[in-house]
Formats: sequence, structure tokens, C-alpha cells
Amino acid sequence: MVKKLAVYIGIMFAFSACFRDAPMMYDGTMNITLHMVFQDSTLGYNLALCDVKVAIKTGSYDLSSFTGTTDSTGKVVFENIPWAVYDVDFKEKVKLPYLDSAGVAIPDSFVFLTLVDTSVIYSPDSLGNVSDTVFTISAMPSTGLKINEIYYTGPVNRSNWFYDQYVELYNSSEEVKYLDGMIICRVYHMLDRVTYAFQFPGVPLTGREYPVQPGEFVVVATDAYDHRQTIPKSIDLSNADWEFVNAADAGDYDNLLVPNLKNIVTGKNVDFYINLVSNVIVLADGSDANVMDQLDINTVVDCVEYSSSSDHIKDIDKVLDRGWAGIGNQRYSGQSVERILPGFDTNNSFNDFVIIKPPTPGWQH
Amino acid sequence: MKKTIISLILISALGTMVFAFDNPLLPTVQSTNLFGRYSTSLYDFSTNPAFFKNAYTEDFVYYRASADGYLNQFRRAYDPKRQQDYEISFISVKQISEKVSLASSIQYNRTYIWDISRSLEKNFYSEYFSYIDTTTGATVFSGPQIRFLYNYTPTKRISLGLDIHYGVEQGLKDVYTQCETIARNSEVRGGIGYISRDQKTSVGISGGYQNAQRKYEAVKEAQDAFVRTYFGYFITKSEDPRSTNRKNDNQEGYEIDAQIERRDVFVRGLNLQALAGWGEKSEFVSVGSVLKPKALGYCLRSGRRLTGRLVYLPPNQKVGAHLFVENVHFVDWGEAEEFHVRFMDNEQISNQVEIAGEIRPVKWFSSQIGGALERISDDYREYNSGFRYRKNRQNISGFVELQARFNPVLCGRIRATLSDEEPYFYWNTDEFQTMRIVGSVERLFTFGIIGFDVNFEKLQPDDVTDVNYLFGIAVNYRK
Repeated sequence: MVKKLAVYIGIMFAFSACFRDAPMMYDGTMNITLHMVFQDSTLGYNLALCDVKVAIKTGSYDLSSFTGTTDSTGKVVFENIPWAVYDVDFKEKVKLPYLDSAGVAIPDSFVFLTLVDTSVIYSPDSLGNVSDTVFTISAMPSTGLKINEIYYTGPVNRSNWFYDQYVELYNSSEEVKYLDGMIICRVYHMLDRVTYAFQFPGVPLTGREYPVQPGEFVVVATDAYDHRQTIPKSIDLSNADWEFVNAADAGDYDNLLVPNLKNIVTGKNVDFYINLVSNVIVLADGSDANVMDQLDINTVVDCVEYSSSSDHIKDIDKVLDRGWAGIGNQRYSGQSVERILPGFDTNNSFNDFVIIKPPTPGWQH
Repeated sequence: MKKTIISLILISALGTMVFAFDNPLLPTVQSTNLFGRYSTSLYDFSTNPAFFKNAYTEDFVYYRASADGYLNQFRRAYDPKRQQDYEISFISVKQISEKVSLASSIQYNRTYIWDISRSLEKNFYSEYFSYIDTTTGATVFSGPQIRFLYNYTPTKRISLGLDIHYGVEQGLKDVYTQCETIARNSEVRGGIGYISRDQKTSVGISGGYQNAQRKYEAVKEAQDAFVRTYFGYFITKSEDPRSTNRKNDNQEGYEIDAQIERRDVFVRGLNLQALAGWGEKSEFVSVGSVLKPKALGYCLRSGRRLTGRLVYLPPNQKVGAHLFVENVHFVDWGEAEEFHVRFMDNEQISNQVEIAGEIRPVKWFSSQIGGALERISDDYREYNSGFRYRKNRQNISGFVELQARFNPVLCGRIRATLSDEEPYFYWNTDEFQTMRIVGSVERLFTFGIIGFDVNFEKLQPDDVTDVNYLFGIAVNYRK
């Protein structure tokens, strides 16, 4: 018995814990050095942004933004901040010298531009330092046919009900755009992993039957139905402009008063349902209708990636969208993501979109 | 009477030892409870299971049921407004042979925490990685604990002991996020002891290993589970909204103690006991999805303790005295797992001295009076928030205890304690005054002894009108 006890005690200590050493680096010692630059070959600008306020914010912790002001060389330093992943949050109206067509500054002439950053996120290196040049672009929204709003979370309910999803388009240009033959895709991961593709009727590029006037909204509903009859906190999509319909899905609701986008992917037999947490929505001109072998990037008219998680791995090339819309958006919350202004597009959905409630099909929040 | 004393010893000992949950790294010696004549054994002082048989020499069983209610009018942000603790326990001690003793206990606890804001923790302030949601609700914790102690003395000089604790507990919050908590805690202590030929000197070494896991599972209701985790006490991290969010907390630690006792030092009845202990305990926390939680944080606590006690209790004398001194030193550090940086440090040094005297003017009555002074030096620092707390605190307390044997079958006891404490920074007040009164009555029947205990505590913070109360009752039976 004594031997057994001795063996047991020996085993007990043999299995006793071996613990880690304390880390050498301390939190609160991270430094970020940013050089703010505005380059625009069209307008002829290539200059450092002096005396402008720059903010950085993090999703790693629930912290307020850190702000700083650039010096005469366009440099701003954030010292002794918590180690975290940071995103530059820069949106500033700046006074710039007016340049003539030769790129020469005209004395006493100035122009005001609202600039936004193009950076995504910064992570600390092993010593907690980050140094980078932040290129800014004019916040004048690029014009054209845009994905303006995506409602994907579903209404507040306890039944896992989310069938009132829709995508809203907006023509932010000053000319009429045409939906003929255009395609709306749900992309799983990059353009070679298309989940669904539904196409407007008409001939791509040349068709002129389905115009969208400048400043006009177009609501494309998964089911053009008054969903409040099913879930009281849902929305009325019976007046949607378009409806996704999959002929292979016998149970798919089809509002005969609303024209349809049709499924063009063989073997897909469900409606245009999109993920409640993260996905990529692509609007393409339809000239490449064979989407399953990889959608031609040159046919993409607009692209938006949304994700509720800030550390989600990008599912689309940053050329198409540098960020994510809907960070923090929750399933079954009745919230949608919409551009901060109609058609506002800086190619970074993190900056371009906000979470809104309730959804606004056919109008801007 | 002897059985009564033994029972009280065991209650005291088990009361301080059977923490199936939140095992302290170094078991706290309850010096004031050990002052009486019945609490001078080395086992009670050290909890080395090798000395168990020397302290408890007879068989007995003990049953107890208790209920405590807390009314927290003054509370911290994440404290409950009310709390109720219920406990039933059974303890059995059996002398198997001259060489072998066995002790076992079964205990069941049920705790109701009412009106607790956000916190999903049983005790938010004892955690460095606390878990919260967005609602105010009530949580019920319940679960059994078991303990088994085996003491074997192969020779007259040497004794061995093994002490095993195991407990599980489940908790459930009554509102969204309906967080379910499952905890499992185990501890194994082994020890060896040597007793000199004259039975006056005892030396022992004991060691313990503890292991605990806790899982918290917050689920969605109308929307995704929306929870946050704390890094320290000021910085939070919003967890990704998802249908189920889980926090996993794994702890393990070990401790080594050495003890020595010398009886009749210089004069008869003067006993000296000393204890040195050292241990480390780690905690690893991950949070996120059930299948792929992300590593959140790691922290390590190292501690040492030096404790001494001098008891003068000459036999057949009307006076006695007691001196207790202790030095405890804890060091903590915490690591944020995502970037492997140290986000907090904590150092706490506590020095305590307690003196008490006893007068027994007649055989049926005794009284004790004493006081304690504790000085605590804190240095808590969070590198992420920039917060630092450096302060020397002081706690003072005094007590009076009266014991009487009214007749051969009925005895009673009442103890009143007054204390003045400077609490830790998160109490957001400079001072507490606490008054505690404990009373008990016991009667001997032909079938055993039945006892009834009541206790009342009033906690009055400085410059605040809100007062906290504790009311408790217990009934016990032993044979």
C-alpha cells in the first residue's frame, strides 16, 4: 500500500504543470507611423497632406479612436497604444493648390477636396511597430450603377426566418444605365467560386429595354411579397422592381406582377438566398454568362463584400472591394447595410456602408 | 464534549478546505477559527493529510444544512443585488485500523444570484478574463462536491496521506443569452509526516495538484449571442456575433508546503507551528465558436506563504494566549494571446498579525478577546489601459467570544467581530466597517448532538448610505 501511495504521489508531481514564461513585450507599447499622401495622376497631385487629422480605430478591443495630426511632412505618429489591429479612419476636407492642366500650381487659387484613405488594416510587427504610407483618394463617389443596399440578416424572429432578403441598385451617374442581360451573383470565394447567378432579361451591353434613370433605385427581391404577413417585423417587398426566380425550384414564390431575374447556373435549384453573416455580391454586365468557370473580372460593374466579423479572411480581390460592409451586423436583427450616401463608392465597403435599421428598399436612409 | 470538539475541528477544517470550485492557490489559514483549544493540531494548521489521524482519533458522522442570504445595497457594477446560498453536507470519519484513517464528505450547493447586471461570471472580480452579455438577470448555480481522505501510518514515526477533492457545478442564466456554465474542479493533495520519538516534534511535507475547467455557453435568442470579454478590469473585446459563443477556461496549478510543529517549547503548553508554502497556477482562456474557439488570454499566478503560530494553552489553567503571523506574497501576470504581449501585472504582499487571549474563570464559562492587523501592499498595473493601482492598505479587526455550558447537555457560543477594512480599488470606496455576530447553540440527545447556528453581518461603506447585510442559519447533527 505504501508503494502504491508513493507511486501515486510521484505520478501526481510528474504530471504537475509546466508553465509559460512571461512575454517579453508589454501591451500599450505599439507605435504606428503613417505618411499621408494624396496622389491623383488625373488631377496632377502628388503631395504630402500636412496638418490634417487622422484617426485610427481597432476592432480588437472596444476602444475609442486614437487621433493625431500630421506634421509638415505629412507624418503622424501614434505612440504607446495597445497592441491591436488598426484601421485608418481618414475623411477630411483639405485645401489644395489649384493645378493647371500642366500640373503647375496657380498662385492664390485653391480647391477643396474631401479625401478618404484607401488602407485596410495594420497589424503590429514583432516589436510592435507599424510604418506605412497611406494613399488617399478623392471621396467624390465614382459614378455608375451601384449595389446600394443589401438586406441579408432577416427580421427579428425566433424561427430562423430570413426569406425577405433583397439587393438594391442605384444609378449614381448622370446618364441612363440599362439592366439588360446584367447578372447578380453570390460569390463564395473569389470570382471562380460563384454560388448563384441570376440574370436580367435582355441582351448584355447593347440592350436598351430596361433603363435605370440617374438617381433611380432598383429593388431586386428574393421574393416580391409582403413578408409582414408571415413575420410581423419583416418588410413589404410586394412592390419590388425585380424578383429572383429559379424555375428549378418548384416552391419558389413568383409574383407575376414583378419581372424576374432567372437562374443561369445549371444544377442550382434554390432561390437567391445569401448568407446571413458574410458573402460577396457581384453585379456584372452579363457579357460573361458562363460564370462557373470564373467570372471575368472585367465584366464586374460593382462588388460588395459583407461580413459581421472584422477578422474575416477576404473572399474577394481587393481590386473589387478593399473592406467589408456590415462589421458587427447580427443575424435576425432586421438590419441592412447601405451606402452612406446614394451610390457612394470608394471601393472600400468598410467606409462606404453603414448598418441601418429598418431596411430601406427603394429609398435612402 | 470531546466529540463536540472533534466535530468543530472537522467542520472548521473542511470548511476551509473543501473548495471544489475556485481553489485558492494557497489554502487560507483561518487563524481566528483556530484559536480555541480544539484547533491546535498541525493538520488544521497545514492541511497536510499525513497528520489527519493525529488530529482526529474517533469515528463520527456529521450532517449539516445551511442557508445564507445576502442583500447587496452597495455593490460594484457586476455584483448581484441579492444572493442566496444553500448547502447540505455529510461528513464521515472512520478509523479503519490503528494505522488507517478514512474521511469522506459529500456536499451539495445551490446558489441563486439575483439581479446581476451583465456578468456571466459567478464572481466577476476574481477573473482577469471575465465574460459579460448585455442583460440583467438571475443565475442559478448548483452542483455536488465529494472528498476522500486516506491516512496511513506505516510506522510510529512516519505517516502518509492522500486527499482527493472533486466537484462539478452547473449554472444557468434565466434571460438572454441564457448562458450555461459547466465547471469541473479536482484537487489531489499528498503528504508525508514525521513525528519524533517524544511526540513533541512533527515535520511534514505536502504537495497538491489542482485542475479545473469551466465552459460558458451563451446562445442566441431573437438575435445572435452578443458577448464581450474583459482583459483586466477596463478593456473589453466584443466577441463576434454568432448563434453560440463559448468561453473555455482551463486552470491547473500545484503547491508545495513544508510544516513543522514543536510542542512544549520552553514551558509546558507553549506550542509553536510554522508553515512555508509555494505554488503556481495557470489559466488559459479561449473564446469564440464551439468548434474553433480563439485563444484569448493566459495568466499565471505564483505565490508563497510563510505562516507561524504560537499557542500557549497550559493544561488546567485559567488563561491562554495565541499569536498568529503570516506573510503572503502573490505575483500575477497576464498575456493577450492574439499578440503575445503582457497586458497586466499584479503583485500583492500581505502581512498579518493576530493576537488573542482567553480567560476561563469557571469551568462552565470561557471568554476570548483578540485583534488582528493586516497590511496589504498592492501594485496592479494594466498595460493596455494604462491603469495602475499602487497602495498600501490596512485592515484592523477585533473580536469577543463567549462560550458557556449551561448544563451537561446544553452549551452555547456567541462571537462578535468588528473590522475596519480598506478595500481594493474596484470597490470604489475608501473604507468598510463590518460587524459580524455569530451565535450557536448545541444540545446533547441520546441519539446525538443537534446544533443550531445563526449569523448576521452588516457591511457599511465609508461615505455611502447603502448597507450590505448577510443573514444565515444552519442546523447540524452529529454522532
